[in-house]
Amino acid sequence: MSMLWQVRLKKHYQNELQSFDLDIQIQSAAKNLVLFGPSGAGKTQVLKMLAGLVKPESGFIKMGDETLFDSDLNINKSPQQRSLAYVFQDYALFPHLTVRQNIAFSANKTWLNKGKQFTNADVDEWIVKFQLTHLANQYPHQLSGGQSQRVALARALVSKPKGLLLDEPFTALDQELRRTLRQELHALLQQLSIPMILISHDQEDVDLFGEEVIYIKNGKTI
Amino acid sequence: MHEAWIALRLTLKIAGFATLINLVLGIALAYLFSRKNFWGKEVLDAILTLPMVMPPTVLGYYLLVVLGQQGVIGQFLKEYFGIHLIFTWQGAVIAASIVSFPLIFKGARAAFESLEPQYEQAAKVLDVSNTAIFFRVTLPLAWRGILAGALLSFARAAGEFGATLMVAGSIQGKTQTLSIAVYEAVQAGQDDTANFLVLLTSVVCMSVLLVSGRLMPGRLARQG
Repeated sequence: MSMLWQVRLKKHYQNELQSFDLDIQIQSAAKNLVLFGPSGAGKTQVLKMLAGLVKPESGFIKMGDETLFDSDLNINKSPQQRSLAYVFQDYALFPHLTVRQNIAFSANKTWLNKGKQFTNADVDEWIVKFQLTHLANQYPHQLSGGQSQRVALARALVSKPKGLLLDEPFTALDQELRRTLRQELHALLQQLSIPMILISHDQEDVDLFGEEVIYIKNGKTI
Repeated sequence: MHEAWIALRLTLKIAGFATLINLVLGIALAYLFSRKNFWGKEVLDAILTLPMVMPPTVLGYYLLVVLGQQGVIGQFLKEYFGIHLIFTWQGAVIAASIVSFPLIFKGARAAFESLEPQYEQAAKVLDVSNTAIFFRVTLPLAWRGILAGALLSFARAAGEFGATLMVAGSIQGKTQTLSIAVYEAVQAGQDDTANFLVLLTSVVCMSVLLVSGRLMPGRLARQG
């Protein structure tokens, strides 16, 4: 079976107080992969390296046949070229744009933001699918945690990514909501054909999403 | 009183152009300083901030030396373009923009540096070009801080006296701004004119401060 992810990442972090070595190895054919480990283990750094937001010192990232990063070959594709959607832990919705403008963000390739009515078929489709129609003209600070998460996901999916990277998607939510949304997200991902990597320190995420689980502790895969 | 209105119009024109120049240069340099590390950055920062602490007459003297007929830039402009800057309102614009530049530069740099990197990162993974991200995410989120700096810079430019007088002189209707007109009126013993000019200037300054106070970051959330 051909590998979906072939990853080797190394980076040394140093500040006045401590030093930290990230040394990650991932070989996986799983469509849904969970990177599991305690907070502070370096999971978010790994996810940002995959997305191209943080540069590893050495190693490589291969997704299918495509090389996204290779320090030996001097390849380092920009986040834009990688087209891996990244859903941030606190969603990072643009505070100055409405829900619809947020979701339609990647549909507009010009240098200026479009008006509140700008949309296209994909945007409309995700707004309906995620039950955001009545919120389309609201601003992010008016949304609940669950609503924000749906907006962040819709925004990511409109960009037609080749993969979905989820950074602790449920930590910002309270216990009850977490359970409901976990089921919702799971149902949704079943419908999507793109691969996903989710990072979490919650065993319940592993149980539900982890077709394959990779454990990370103190910056190392074990 | 007719002269007072001419002086006011001239003051607003000079301060307006100076602020416009500073907006473009200030935003560009502040963004560069907030995102890139390069050799001599802090020294350059100090030089760009210097007009805030240096006596305006000293700045005016520097400008005279550089822009005057014998100056490096002055000679060049005269020879190739036939432009004289000394004793013109354009010269006053240059003096005013240099004096007020640090206010907008500092304000914009602080605004850019206090932005959460997440928003720009989120835009990057959405496959939007870096230039578009600057105009669609960075600038709108930093805008309040920049605008507050721009208004302070406008007020400073409008009140400019020392450097403007050195470079542009005090030619009524041409380079005589409000603050210079006040000085001239007092020197000539025209108390009525001076009173009116002072009142007019105070009203303009108060308005600018009130508007900039409303725009200061923190007072209102960043949301649209």
